Amino acid sequence: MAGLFKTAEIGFATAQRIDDLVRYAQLAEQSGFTSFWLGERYYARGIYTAAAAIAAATKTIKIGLGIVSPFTRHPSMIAMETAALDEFSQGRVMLGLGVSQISAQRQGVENTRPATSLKETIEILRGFFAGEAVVYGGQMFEMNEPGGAFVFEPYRADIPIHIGGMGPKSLELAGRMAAGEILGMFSTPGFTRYAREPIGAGLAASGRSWADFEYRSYITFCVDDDSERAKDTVRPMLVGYLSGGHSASAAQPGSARWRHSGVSDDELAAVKRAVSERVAAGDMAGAAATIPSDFVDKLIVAGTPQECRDKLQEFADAGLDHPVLYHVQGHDPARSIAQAAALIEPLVATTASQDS
Amino acid sequence: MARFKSVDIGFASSHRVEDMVRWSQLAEAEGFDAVWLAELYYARGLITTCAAVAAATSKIKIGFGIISPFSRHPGVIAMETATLDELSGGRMILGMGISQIAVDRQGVENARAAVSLREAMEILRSFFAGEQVVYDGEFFKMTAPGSPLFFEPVRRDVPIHLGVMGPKSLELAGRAADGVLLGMFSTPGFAKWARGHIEQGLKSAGRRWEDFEYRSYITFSVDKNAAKAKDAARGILAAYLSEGVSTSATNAESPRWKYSGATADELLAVKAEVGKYWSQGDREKAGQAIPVDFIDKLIVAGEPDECAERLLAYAEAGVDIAVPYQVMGPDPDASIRLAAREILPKITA
Repeated sequence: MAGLFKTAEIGFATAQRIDDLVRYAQLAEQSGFTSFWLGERYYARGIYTAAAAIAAATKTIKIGLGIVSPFTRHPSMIAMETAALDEFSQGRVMLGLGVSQISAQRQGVENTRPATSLKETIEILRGFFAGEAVVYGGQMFEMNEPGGAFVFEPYRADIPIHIGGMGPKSLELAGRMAAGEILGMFSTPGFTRYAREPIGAGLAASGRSWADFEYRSYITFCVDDDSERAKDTVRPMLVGYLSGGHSASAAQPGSARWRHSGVSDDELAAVKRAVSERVAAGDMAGAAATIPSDFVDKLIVAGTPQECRDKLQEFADAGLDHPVLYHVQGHDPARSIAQAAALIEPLVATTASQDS
Repeated sequence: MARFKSVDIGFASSHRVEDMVRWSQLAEAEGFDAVWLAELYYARGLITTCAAVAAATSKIKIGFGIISPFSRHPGVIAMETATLDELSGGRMILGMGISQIAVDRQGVENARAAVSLREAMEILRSFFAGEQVVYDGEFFKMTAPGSPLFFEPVRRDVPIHLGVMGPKSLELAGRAADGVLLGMFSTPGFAKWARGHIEQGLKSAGRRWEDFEYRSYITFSVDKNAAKAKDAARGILAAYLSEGVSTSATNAESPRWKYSGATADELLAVKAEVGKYWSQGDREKAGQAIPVDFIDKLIVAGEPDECAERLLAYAEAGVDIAVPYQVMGPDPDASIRLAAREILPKITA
């Protein structure tokens, strides 16, 4: 039986102008997307300013912080900002946590130990949200005596916390402790299916089931009436990714996300080599052009509405509940957002079918 | 008699975001020049609050009053500030200070304000200027190959003010910052003393007072009934004397007390009396235990004419811009209007 999604969601990086992000969020709300996720890009626009601006300009759409790192803002600051945002948006916030390897390294943090630091951060945050005086002596984070408590009552004591980590320990942690998982951009149906194992182990360890959990993934996305034009639009994103613009580990062969991606090590190495040569020569356009279309197709949903729908179906079949179409753009964002909403709609379960 | 160049207003994030937004709109409509938002620990986050205010106003300036580089890395402060400046159309003032609570929590033994704030300021200015930021400071690092701000900020010269009270930091501000914001419970006597240290910094950098904005938070409460105004201010002072924002803040030997007009004996006696009730959990009685003449030394509270006269003592001490802070009065909305209509015309140039 073909899988169905529970919701259709959308996301953008904070590389966009703040007024554009606000406009996209309003369009997404009107088009029926249930959540708007923000990816905080370093050193682009700050995520809390962007999220608050969106909260002020929308009414119903949920706002995802995807993700915030405890290495750039202390967990207590994340607690304060997130609770303020939840109050201001009247309970529309979802908090995603990750370590943001690159920003941590820039700031001189040698070893981020994702599973440990994310676990400690969740514990500190939940303490604050529950109104406790938080004293914490972790390996990565501390709240010294006499500790600190919120001086106000948060709008919700149970603001949902998602994990954005993709290593096996982080995925298991998500299943054990978090309200959900949000996989990063360039996740594939194969990796999505694989990641259910460690998450499921975590769920089982905490006596929970998939019904208690929200399984999300960013899906880098571009829809266009012309299939090749859609792929051309997204190629530059892959150039940055493959030439080391993100974390050092992200584009390394051998990791689970690559082993389950459908891309062979040889294929990845060949594409990376070709891209890096052109990048080294300063030829960014040329670098993008070297990426074969079938390689684009393995990592990004980019094409005509029908192609996009078929590829999204693969994610639903792999067990993903909440797709976050990422970076929906093109020359006319309003049209792209409406088009994306229309093409994904048949893949989303209605309330009635979810009940049955 | 000296008057202020302009008058701002300030609120702490212990209030609901929607209240801070409404008061900021009211302040904008009533002619206040800037709204300063103080981030209390552990209350609402400063960035979210500023963004909410920016989205709901169109001309009032918005100040961080203050943000600590020990709470968020300077790189993140640069990102959020530049984004707020974009959202607000260039209305931000970046006020920065140490925040002892943030420092303690980070396990930093000695935050050395004059060094750490200088480093943070250098990193921030470098981001705003569009440089590839690599920095190896004692307190803050940006490792090679470094990073620039990813986007063109609406202003490359976002003003940076320091919220500091020590002589070295005040000199640093005079040398390198765009202004100073003295903390709450600063007095005219202290403001005058602090001005001397800022001036040394200005001189050593070949700058003049015309290049600089000198502000002070002035804890404030106004009502047509003077006693009601003073009563409304008792709670904030009782909390301050009992819990201290930092241990040094109510140290009788520090310059802010030495020049406050309150004697060390007086301070210690009031602290002891207030602390007795506070430790029993009786905040009401703790507030009532503060003598009126002690309130009058630290807070501008009373009916409009009394407030105007007492505020002008700060202008006389050399403060350019008054920032009436927090309480406002028994009914903050009414007090903001009252202050705007009956005090502002008497104290601005």
